[in-house]
Amino acid sequence: MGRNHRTQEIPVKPLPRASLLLLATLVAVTVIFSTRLTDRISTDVTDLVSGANQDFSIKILSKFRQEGSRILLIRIDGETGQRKAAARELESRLKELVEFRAVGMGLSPSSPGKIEEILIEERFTLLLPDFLADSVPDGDSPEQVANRAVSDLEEFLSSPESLTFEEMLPRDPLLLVPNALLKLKGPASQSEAELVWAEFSESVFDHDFRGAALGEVDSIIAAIGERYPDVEFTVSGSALFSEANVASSRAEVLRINLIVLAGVIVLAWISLPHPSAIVHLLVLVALAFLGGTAAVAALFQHPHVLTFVIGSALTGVCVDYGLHLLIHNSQSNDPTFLETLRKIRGPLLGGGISTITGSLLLCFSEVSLLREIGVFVGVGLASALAVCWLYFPLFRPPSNKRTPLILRIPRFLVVYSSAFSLIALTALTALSLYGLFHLRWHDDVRQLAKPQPSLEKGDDYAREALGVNKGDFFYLIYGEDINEVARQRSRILERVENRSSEIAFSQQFFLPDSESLLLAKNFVESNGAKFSESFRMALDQNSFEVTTFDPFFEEWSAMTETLDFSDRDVAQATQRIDQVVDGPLAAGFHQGSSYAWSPLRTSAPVQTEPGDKIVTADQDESINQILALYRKAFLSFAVPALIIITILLGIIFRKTGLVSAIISFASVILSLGLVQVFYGGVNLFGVVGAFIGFCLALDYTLFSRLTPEPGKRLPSSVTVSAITSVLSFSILCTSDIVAVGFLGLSATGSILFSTLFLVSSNRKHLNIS
Amino acid sequence: MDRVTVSSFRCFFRLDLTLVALLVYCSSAVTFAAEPTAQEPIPDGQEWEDWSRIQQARKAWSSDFEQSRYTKLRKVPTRQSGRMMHSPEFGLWVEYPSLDRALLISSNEVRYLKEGQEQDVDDTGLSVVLEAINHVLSGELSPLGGSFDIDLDGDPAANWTLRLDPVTEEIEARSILIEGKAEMPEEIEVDFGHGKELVFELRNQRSIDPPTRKEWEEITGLRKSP
Repeated sequence: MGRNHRTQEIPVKPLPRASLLLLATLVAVTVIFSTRLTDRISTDVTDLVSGANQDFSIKILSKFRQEGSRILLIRIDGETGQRKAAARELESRLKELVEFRAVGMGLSPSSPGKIEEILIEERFTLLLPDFLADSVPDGDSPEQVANRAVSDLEEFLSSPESLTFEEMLPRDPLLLVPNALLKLKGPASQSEAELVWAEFSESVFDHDFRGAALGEVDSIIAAIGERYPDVEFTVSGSALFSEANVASSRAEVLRINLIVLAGVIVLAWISLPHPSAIVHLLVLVALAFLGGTAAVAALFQHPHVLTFVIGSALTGVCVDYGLHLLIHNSQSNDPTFLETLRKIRGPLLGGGISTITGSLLLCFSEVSLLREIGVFVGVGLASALAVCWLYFPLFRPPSNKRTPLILRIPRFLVVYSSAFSLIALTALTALSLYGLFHLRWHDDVRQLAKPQPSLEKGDDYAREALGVNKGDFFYLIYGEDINEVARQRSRILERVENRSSEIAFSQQFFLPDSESLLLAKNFVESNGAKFSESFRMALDQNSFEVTTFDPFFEEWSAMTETLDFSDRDVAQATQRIDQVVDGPLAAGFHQGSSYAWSPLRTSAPVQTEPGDKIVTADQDESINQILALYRKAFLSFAVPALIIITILLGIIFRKTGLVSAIISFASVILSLGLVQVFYGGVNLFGVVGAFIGFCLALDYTLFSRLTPEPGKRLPSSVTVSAITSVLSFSILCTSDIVAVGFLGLSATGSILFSTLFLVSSNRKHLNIS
Repeated sequence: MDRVTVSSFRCFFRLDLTLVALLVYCSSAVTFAAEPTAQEPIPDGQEWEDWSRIQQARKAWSSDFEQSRYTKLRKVPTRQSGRMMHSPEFGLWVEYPSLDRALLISSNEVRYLKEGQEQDVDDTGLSVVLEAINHVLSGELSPLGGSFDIDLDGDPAANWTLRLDPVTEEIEARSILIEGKAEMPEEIEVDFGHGKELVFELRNQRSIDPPTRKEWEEITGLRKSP
C-alpha cells in the first residue's frame, strides 16, 4: 500500500533562519534545564503538600521526616556473640565511609561524650528545675532536699550502673546528668538483636549519592555476612524507599509513554495519508516533554516524581495539535504547513490556549504536586503549539499520499456507531449513577506511592529493635520554641496520664516547663545558699569526702548569681544539645531558629483539644487530613471556575456554548461515579482528573458543535484527538500507584461520556447516503 | 593467613636454606598468632588443669553477697547486700533486692535492670571486666587469653587465688582478683584504680541444680522476644 511512497522532507526553500534559530535555542535551553533535574527529584510524600501556604504542622512533620530520612537502620539478628561481633565490625566499617557523617549503635549518638559534656554544663538550666519540682512541692525545706539528695547519692553508689558515672559525680552529686542520660535512652529494647545506624552526609534524594552509598553498604554487609554466615542483616530507611520509588516511577513513566506512543503511532498510521507523519509526531511529543520538564526543573526545587508519572498523559494531549495540523493539511492539500496553520489558527490556538489555561489554573492549588503537574502540562502544551509553528513549516508536506486506513472502516460501523454509542453511554451512565448514589470521599496518602511490602516489613522489623511497636501512636508536639513545646507537652501529658487507656511511652527529660522554671528561680534565689550549706553538711555527716565535691559547690555558687531560669536560657541550652545529638535520638527533640518539636509515643490515640499543637507523626494520617482539606479547597476553587467558564461560553457562543458546557459538566459528574465504582471512593486526584477531563470534553464538544463535518458524527480531528486522550489517560489507570489511576479514570470518563454523547446524539449532520 | 603461608612456600624455591627456614618459621608464627583461641598467656601445668576441672565439674551455684564499694568520694565503703546465682550455660545473675536492681552477665553481654526494666547503660570498658569474671566463674580461661595476664596461686583443691591483669588500656580495671575454696568462689575484687574498688564477699554458697532456660528466664525476669 505505502510501498511506492517515499518521504520527501526536502525543504522547499532555504530554512527560515529565525524559526530554526528560535527552535534550536528553545531546545538547547530545555535540554540544559532538564539535565539539571535528575538529582533533585523528590519521592517524599510530604513534599506533595509542601509549599508557601503549607500548614505549620506539615512543615514540622516534613522537617521531622527530612531528619529521619538521613538515617539508615541496619538490624542484625543471630547468635549473641556473632551478631555483636558483626555489629561492631559493621559500625567500624561504616565509619570509614565518607557517605556517612555519623555512625552508631542502638540509640547511642555517635559522640555520647559531647552530649554528656553539654548536659553537665547546662545541667542547672535544663535539669535542676525538674529535680526541684520533684522535691520542693512536697513542702520540703532546703535541709530535707539536701538530705534526700545525699541519701540518693549513697544508694546510687551501690548500684551497678554507678561504676560508669563516677567521674562526673564530683561536679554532679545531685545525679542530674546520670539520671537524665539513663532516662534519655529509655528502657533498652527487649529485642534480641543489634542495631547499627548511619547518618548520610548528603540528601538521600540525590540519586547518584544514594546509589553509591547503598552500594557501599551492600558490599560491606556482604563481606561481613561471609564471615558470619548465621547472622542476618535487615537494612531499612528512607533511602531504600526512595530508591525503590524512583526506580518504579521511572519504569511507570517509561511504560506509560511507550504504550501511549505506540498507540499514537498506530493511530497516525491509520489516520494519516503518509507514514512520515509519525516522525513529526514523535518530534513534537519529545519537544513538548522536554519543555514541560525544563519548566518544572526551573520553577521547582524538588519536583515530585509523580509529576512525571501523571504528566505522561501529556503525550496523548499534545499530539492532538500535530494530528490536527497533519489531518487538515492532507484534507486541504495545502502546499505548505504554514498555509494550513493560517487556516486552522483559530481553533488550534483556541483549543490549545483553553487547555493550557485550565492546566495552569492548577498552579493556584495549595498542593505542590498539582502545581507541578499544572506547569508540566501547561508548558508542555505550549511547547507543542510552538513546535507546530516553528518545526512543521521547515518541511514540505509529502506529495505522495495514500488513502488513510481509517477511511476504510466498514460502512456498517459508521451507520450503527450512533446505536453502539447509545448502548455504551446507557450502560456506563447506569454504572456511574450507581457509583454516584454511593459516592464517598476517600483521601489516603498511601495511594500516592507504589506499595513496597517487603521494604515496609523490613522497616517495621528494624524499628522494632529500637523498641518501637507497630501498634504505637507517634505524635509531634510543636511550637515556636522549645518552651512552648514544653508547655504544650505538660498540658497534653497531664490529660494523657488521667486516661487509663493512653500510656505515654516516651518522656522528654530536659524540657523544664514554665512552672518548674519559676519554682527553680524562686528556690535558688531564696534558698540557694542555704541548700548549699545543708548539702555540704549532709555529705559530711554521711562520711563523704566533702572536698571532692568542691567543683559542684563552686559551680552552684556561680549559678545562683547568674542564672535566671528564663525561656531564652532553656532554648539556647537545648539548641546546643540539638546540634550534637545524632542518630535515632536526634528525633528526640528539635530547637530550630523559628520552630521546635518534641515527639510523644503513646499506646492509644491522644484525644486532642482546641489549642493543642500536636500532629500525628504517622505521616499517612496527618497527610490524609491535609489532603482532605486540599480536596475541599480545590473543589471550592474549581466549581466557581467551571460556572464562570459556562457563563462566558453562554455569552460568547450563546446556546451552543451553554449546551457544550452542560454536556461537559454532566460528563465530569458521571466520570466521578465511575471512579467511585472502580476505586471505592473519590479523592483529590479524582477531582483533578475530572477538572482536566472537563477542559478536554469542552474542547471536543465546542469544536464538534461549531465545526461539524458533513457525513460524520464527529470531526476527524476530534475523533483522533479523543482517541489519543482516552488512550493516554486510560493507561494511567493501569498504574500501580492508585492515585494516578484515580486521575486517569476520571479524565478518561469525562472524555468518554462527552464523546459518546456527541456520537449518539449528533444525527442531523449525518449524511449516510 | 593462607596467603601468608602460600607466599612463604613460593619463596621456598627462590631462596637459600637459611631464608627458607626463617620463612617457614615466620609462616608458622603467623598461623598460630591468628588462631582465635590462643592459649599462650595461660600457663600449662597440672594445677591449671586441676583448677579448670574442679570449676567445670561444679554446675550451678547460688550465694548471698556483701558488696563493698570503695571510692575517693567517700571515707567509708558503701555497702550493699544481695544475691548471686551462676550457671555456666546462662551466666551470672547479680541481684540487689533493696535497690530493686540487677545485673545479668553472660559470656558476651551485660544487661542492667532497674525495677524490672532493662536499662541502656554505656558500659564500654566495664563490660569486658564483668564478662571476664563470668568466664572465670565458669572455669573458662581461654577467652581471656588475649586480654589479660592470668596468674593462679594456691591449691586448686583447697584455697586458691586467681588474678587477672588487663593487657590493654581499653579495659577499665587495674586488676581482678578472685579467691575461692575448691569449687566455690569466696571473694571477687575489682580494682579500677584511683581509689575505685568493688568487692563482693560471698556467703552461703551452695550448689544448685542447673536451671533450664525457662527457669533461668523466670528467675531473672527476662523473657526473650520470640
